[in-house]
Parts: sequence; structure tokens; C-alpha cells
Amino acid sequence: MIALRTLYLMSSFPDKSSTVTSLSFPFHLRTLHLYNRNYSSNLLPTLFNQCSRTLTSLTLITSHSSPSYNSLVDGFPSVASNLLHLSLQHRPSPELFAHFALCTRLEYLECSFAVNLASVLDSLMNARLKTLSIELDYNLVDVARILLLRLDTSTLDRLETLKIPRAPAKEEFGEFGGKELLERCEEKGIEVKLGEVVAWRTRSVFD
Amino acid sequence: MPTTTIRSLPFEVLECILDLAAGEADLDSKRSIFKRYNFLRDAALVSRDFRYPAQSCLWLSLRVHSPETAKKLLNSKSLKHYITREVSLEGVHSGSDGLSGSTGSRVLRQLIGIRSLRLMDFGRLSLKVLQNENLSSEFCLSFLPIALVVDTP
Repeated sequence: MIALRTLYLMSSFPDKSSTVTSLSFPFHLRTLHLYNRNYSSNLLPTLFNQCSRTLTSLTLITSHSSPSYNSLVDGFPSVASNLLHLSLQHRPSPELFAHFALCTRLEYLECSFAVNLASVLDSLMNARLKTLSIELDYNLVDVARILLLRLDTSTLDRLETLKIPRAPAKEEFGEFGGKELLERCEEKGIEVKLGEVVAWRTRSVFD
Repeated sequence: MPTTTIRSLPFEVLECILDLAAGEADLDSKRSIFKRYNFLRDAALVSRDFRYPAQSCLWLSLRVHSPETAKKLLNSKSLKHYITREVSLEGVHSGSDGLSGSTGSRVLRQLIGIRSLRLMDFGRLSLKVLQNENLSSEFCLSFLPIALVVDTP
């Protein structure tokens, strides 16, 4: 059987709310990518509702300034408990943070720049992450401190992989303040993947 | 033990081999698309046994970003003979020439087997475009006609 599984909604839609509510989509998405576009207020709740049992991966490339952010917040609870993969490109609003406790199956968290890492990890208190991927635009010392404080919390105590692809390679990461984090990860059997992408900015942010 | 040759391989296996050998199509990278396209075009000309699986692979990933591309695709005799696994439909505000909402909608109605769809910056595109049976989980592979068609996208 084949059907649409992945949808990138990178366009605005002019449909009226009443039209959207009456739509019945003939597919059940596994993966959805949302952008800063105007989707019509009923689209996300309708789509989330129809894909609530199948949607396992959600990528939010949308900030709270997006015209559709309120509908994202409204619809999020219907898919939260089924999500395995969540990718955040912008800082979530307090209203969205409040729903993160519903993410009980989440295994893979990806945080891009401008996301408040500490708040995100704390608000995912019912998740048991296996992989944490951080797209660096943070101070490495801050990242190390935030993670060290939380490695034994329920959210991270089953972590298997930590990815920071734009961080410098391990030796240099240690010199930049990540030594203790690397040691703790080794003790806990967490695989650390660093230095996959060269990013000069990460090399000049040491306090 | 009988010798295995290209001729004795089922075309599905050959298709998988060609798909892997051609490399992944990054729909945001012209270079990646052309590299894959050129490989598969050359492979289609190697022998008759290669033609169908190579053409099938050519249709797997499509980027439709201009009215000319859409027209060529809609006029293709191969349309409906091959599955398109992923497609990016790019509208008039996407930075390229772009498709109108109606053209994007027409293209989407003609493609089959889509698993990944990107709708990118249309001016006026109704969400009704997603109410499309070709995107349905009820659509089964067995309904597809098997045919050898020379035309390429």
C-alpha cells in the first residue's frame, strides 16, 4: 500500500475556515513540516485530528509571530502523545511549552538555534529521549552546563546519542569547556557525535 | 549452479540497484538532481533490460518549478505509468518561475504513488488539492499498468 506519508506545508492557503473543516484528507501522515505561513485557522487542528494516530514526526520551522501559531498550539495536544520525533527551529511560546508534557513517547529531539534548550528539556518531563541533536548557535559552555545538570533526569537518563554536528571535534570540544560532559557521557554509555559540520562561529564563543 | 546475469534479474531488483547507484535526489540542489538524472538517462541507454527500471527511477523524484516543466510533464506519455515517490511543487512566490495554483493542482492530480509532497509558496492554491485519491492509502500498487515507455520526464 502506498500513500502520502510526508508533507511539507511551505505555502499559504486562501481557504475559508468553513471549507477547511469540511475537508477529509485521504491519507494519514507520518511526518509533517510546518513553516511560517498562513494556513487558515482550522487547517492544523483538522490535519492533526485526522492524523493523530499516525503522525510521529513533527518539524516546526515556525515562530510565534506566524499567523498560524495559535492554531498550532490548539492542535498540538491531539498529536503530542504519539510523537517520536520533534524538531524545533524557534523558541516555543509559553502556551506550546505547556503542551510538551503530553509528549510521552518522544525519543528524538532536535533543537536548532534560538531554542531555549533548558526550558525545552524541562518541559519535556514525561519524555524519555534516546537521541538529542543540537544545531549549535549556543555557547558551548552553556550547552555543557545545561546537559550536565540534566543527564540524570528522567528526560535524559536513557539517552543513547548526543549529536552536536556543528561543534568542534571532541578534543577541541573538551578544551572549550565540554570535557566534563564528554566524560559523563562516556560513563553513561552515551555516544557523542561532534564535528560533522565545520562552523567557525562555535570556535569563538568561549567565555 | 545457474549463472546470474542482468537478464535473469527481476526488473524490481535492477530498479533498486539503479536507484541506489544513482544517489539520492536532493530536491533543493540542482546539481544533485542533474547528477541523478544524467546517470539514469545513461543507464536507460545501456540495454533494453535497463530501460524500464532506469525510467522508473527517473520518475521517483520530481521537482516541478516552472510552467515549462509542468507542461512537459503533463504532456508526457509516461505519466501514470510510473510511480513518483517524492515531488516538490513550487509556486509563483518560490523564487523560481513557479506554477500557478491551478497548474500545481493539475500536476498533483496526474502523479501517482506520492509518499512525500512539498507545496512551496503558491499564490492561490486551495487545500482541496490535498483531497486527492492519488494520495490515498487505498491506492494500491496492483492497479498500476506495467508498460515499457520510452518517454522520460
